[in-house]
Amino acid sequence: MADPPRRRDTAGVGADRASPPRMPRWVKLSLIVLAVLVLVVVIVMLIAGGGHGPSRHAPGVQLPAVSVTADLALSGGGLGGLAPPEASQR
Amino acid sequence: MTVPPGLRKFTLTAHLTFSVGWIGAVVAYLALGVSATTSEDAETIRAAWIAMELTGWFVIVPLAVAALLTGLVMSLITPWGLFRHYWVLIALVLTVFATAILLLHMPTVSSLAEVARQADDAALQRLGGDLFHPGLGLVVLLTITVLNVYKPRGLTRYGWRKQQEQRRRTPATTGGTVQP
Repeated sequence: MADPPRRRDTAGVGADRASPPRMPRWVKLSLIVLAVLVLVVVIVMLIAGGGHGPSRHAPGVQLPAVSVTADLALSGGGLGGLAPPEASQR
Repeated sequence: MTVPPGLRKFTLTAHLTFSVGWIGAVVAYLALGVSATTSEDAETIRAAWIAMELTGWFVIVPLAVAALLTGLVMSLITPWGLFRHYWVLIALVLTVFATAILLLHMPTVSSLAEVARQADDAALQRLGGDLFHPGLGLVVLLTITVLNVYKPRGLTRYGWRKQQEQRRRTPATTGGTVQP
């Protein structure tokens, strides 16, 4: 972001047109790749049996401080292994 | 917004320092995560988790927030703007996303570090590490870096509209030089 846009950069894709420029190909490709990656991660998590999701980050969801050791021993431990008790007993 | 070149360079220096520092800190965190995952020594695992908590809260979080804020300032004081170019917009979205996930994830790290402080050796062996979040975060940060270096072309609709307004205001005799 240091150098100011050169004339070519400032003009950008389709800047001289009377109508708004279309989305560049690299943006479309990036969005497709991102969508595929998100899909893969979701599928892997579903196959792995969950244990992770945005709800895990929700306020109020606290990990037990000391008594978790017993659960960790059952679930295999780690951040990926901190599944709810019913999931870890499967 | 027009600012003196000295101030712009100072802000750029700060932004680069915080951004590169963020990447370096995540790499260090990953090393600790790998150590906690692979080590069979209980004290090493305990130390790794405590170090991950400290590194996260006192190095990574401040660097992330500082990089985000200085990035916002840079976009405002340079002609690039915040919403005019796709690469800036995507870098902003990715930075906000990475910072949000970091802030949401750190309490979990603190909880596990607390567990590591008190757990016995057998439980520590099963505590595992933290590789997914820092690994994904590193990929996102490297993507942002690539965007910042290559600056791929592409105006957003907003950027195009702003440019059209500017051109209407700028006399044709100036040769159409655009200075947002």
